[in-house]
Amino acid sequence: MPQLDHRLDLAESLTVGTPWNTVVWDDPVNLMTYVSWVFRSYFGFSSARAEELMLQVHTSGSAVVATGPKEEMERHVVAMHGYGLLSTLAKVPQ
Amino acid sequence: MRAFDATPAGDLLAEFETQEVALFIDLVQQIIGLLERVKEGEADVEPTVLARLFPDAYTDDPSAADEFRRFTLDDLIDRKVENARGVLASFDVAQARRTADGEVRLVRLDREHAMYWLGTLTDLRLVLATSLGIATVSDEGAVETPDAEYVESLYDWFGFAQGSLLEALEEVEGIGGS
Repeated sequence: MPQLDHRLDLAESLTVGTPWNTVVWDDPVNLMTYVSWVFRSYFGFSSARAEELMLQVHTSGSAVVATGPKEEMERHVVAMHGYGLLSTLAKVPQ
Repeated sequence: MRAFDATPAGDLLAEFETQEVALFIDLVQQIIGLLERVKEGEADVEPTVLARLFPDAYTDDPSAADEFRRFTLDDLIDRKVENARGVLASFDVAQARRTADGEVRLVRLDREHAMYWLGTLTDLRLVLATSLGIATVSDEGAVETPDAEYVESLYDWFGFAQGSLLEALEEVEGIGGS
């Protein structure tokens, strides 16, 4: 007879790891138009979305620009570093 | 320098004075030299420059950040060197034009070379900003060195060039008005 008082959370046990965020940080060097351009050309965001995220970076100090598996977020962070932006990855807060 | 402008054919065109070209090429070659020294593991590169060109990928885990940097450094350097060489190549093919004030160079970029330029202008500004002490929001700023004023004028000049290139690029891509 199986344990009836134990609830198995299938969704949790089938998800490979926790999702991660790619965060871009404000820096005083990069032009606002450059940051928007990077968001458009690398992530393929619309002008409006790129502008919105750029302004969030500028005014709040950082913005989450992508969420997903760790390996994918690592690729995004390397790409951001390639463009000269300050970028980190962090586990999505639970 | 005359700012970048979009041509009807969809290229980006700017005009540089001969002395500006020489100065620009010299700094780009210095960036390539710096990147190659980093790749060869030479320890004479200013740590603050390294930290800004190859930032931490993890804010609260220094060993994970170090490991990440070890895995990604070579590819990042290759990409930055490729950008810089792309910039040098566009000066190689720049047409000369005589004006009343002397000779100028017409730098004409397609989209691929514009991307090389945007990357290298960023790296140049990051390196200059680091030496000025203004590269991150937590920097104290305004380091007093004998050539700070000169470095700042270069920093502003590259910012002007990059800003005008982005504006011209947006015009070509039809983003400016949307």
